[in-house]
Amino acid sequence: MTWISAVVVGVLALFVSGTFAFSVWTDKEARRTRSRVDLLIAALNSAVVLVVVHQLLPWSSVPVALWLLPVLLVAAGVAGAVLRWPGLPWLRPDRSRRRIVADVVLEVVVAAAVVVVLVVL
Amino acid sequence: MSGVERRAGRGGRRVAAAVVAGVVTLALGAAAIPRPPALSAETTGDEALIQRVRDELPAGAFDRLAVAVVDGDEVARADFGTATGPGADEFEIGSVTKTVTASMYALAQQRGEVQRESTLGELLGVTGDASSITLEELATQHSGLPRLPADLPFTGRVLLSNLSGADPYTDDVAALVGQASRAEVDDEKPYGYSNFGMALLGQALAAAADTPWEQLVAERVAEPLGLADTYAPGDPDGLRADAPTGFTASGRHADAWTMRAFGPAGSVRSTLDDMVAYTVAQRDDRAPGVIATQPLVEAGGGGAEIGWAWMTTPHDGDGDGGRDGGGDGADGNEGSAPGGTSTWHNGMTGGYASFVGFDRDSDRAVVVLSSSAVSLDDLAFALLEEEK
Repeated sequence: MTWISAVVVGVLALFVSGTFAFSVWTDKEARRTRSRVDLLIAALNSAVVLVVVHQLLPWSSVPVALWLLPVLLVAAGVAGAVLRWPGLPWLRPDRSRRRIVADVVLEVVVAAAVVVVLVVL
Repeated sequence: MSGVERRAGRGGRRVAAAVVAGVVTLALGAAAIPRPPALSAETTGDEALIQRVRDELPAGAFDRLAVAVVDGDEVARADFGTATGPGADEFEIGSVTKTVTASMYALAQQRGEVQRESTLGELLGVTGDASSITLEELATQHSGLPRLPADLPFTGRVLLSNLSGADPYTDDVAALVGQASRAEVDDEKPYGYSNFGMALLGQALAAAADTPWEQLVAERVAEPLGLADTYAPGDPDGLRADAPTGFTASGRHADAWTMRAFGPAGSVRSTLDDMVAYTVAQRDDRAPGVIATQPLVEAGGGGAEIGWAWMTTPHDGDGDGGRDGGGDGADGNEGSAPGGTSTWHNGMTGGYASFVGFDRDSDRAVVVLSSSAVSLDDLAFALLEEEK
């Protein structure tokens, strides 16, 4: 992996995990997670980027302590998700059930493909 | 208990659950902290060489490493985490395998099994543009074939294996022949390093001898030179018990590359002892098929020439060394002895890097084997070309 692609992967990981943490802790209504399914998808995305970062970054040349940055953000996101969970509906009321199902299936398939390629194969 | 108290109790439990969930996530993440390989601290060999190798290693995920510098009959070794002697831990030598295939090409001519003008159409039944490619063109990397087959499935496997660390070369000989029959060939046939072409050369030699290429490696190269720990596995079932695997450049485990039909381009496994014996035999003109080392045609500019797989480049002090066009890519170095030439080949698989080279004028040979896919060509050339 080149340095440029390593930086891109690192920034992407911080963005995704940071978005997850922000979405459960922010007071801004427009940015907040609006359903339990959204929470689960955001958590799944964060877990996948952790796998990507763990498997692809050249850790021999990068301080391994940097690994803890996205982990901290995900941990903050998980803690916030637990707090917000009871107050959320399962599904967003402003979206059709068909679209939600399609989004979930796509997310799960992509996540599974990434994990299979990077970890299982 | 009032409603307010009940709500306060639920809120307190929720906060506690959130803290526990966050701490557990953090603990799991900390437990999974990346643990990249580090160059083995277990060293044996020449202390000065060990120190020099340590000083000149580039950044990267190193693990096992074995280096030898041979001046005349005097061998200086630097082993990092690698046992020596019979049964020592083996390495994938990657594209250094091409020199083994080149030796077998020379031997097959001596035995009358093939001629330089024998074609892929005659020996393997290849059709299309590639049918008229000769073995000589394949051996000198002037076949006009691309570096790898341009098939979509093959390209997809290569991309996937870059992520997964798997061996992308899973085609059998029939599939290889099919890829060749569909291949576009550059009519001008300039120098062009090709794993595809070298795989076809090896399989053509196997067809001419009616013997699997892996068996030819054992019978015609390894056994005559007494290389007990050098072999071509052919497929994963052919790996020896406890065959080690290496690491990608980023420090992930990589699968063994057995390469199936592409084996003649890069599948041989060996040890430092065996590769020293092999390289010194080439340097001393006593290896089977040693004529393969003689430079024949230009290869990529900068004064570089190629024989049958073997590259010959002027020492870096004489120009740019012409190394960019040969092997798996190499850069120049400074402080080299002027006036000489290096004959060499390097190699790289998913989890290994390698280099063998010699200079007949200075009577020196160098072997570098590493269990991580980080090129050590700069170190190897520095060792090979420095003034005594």
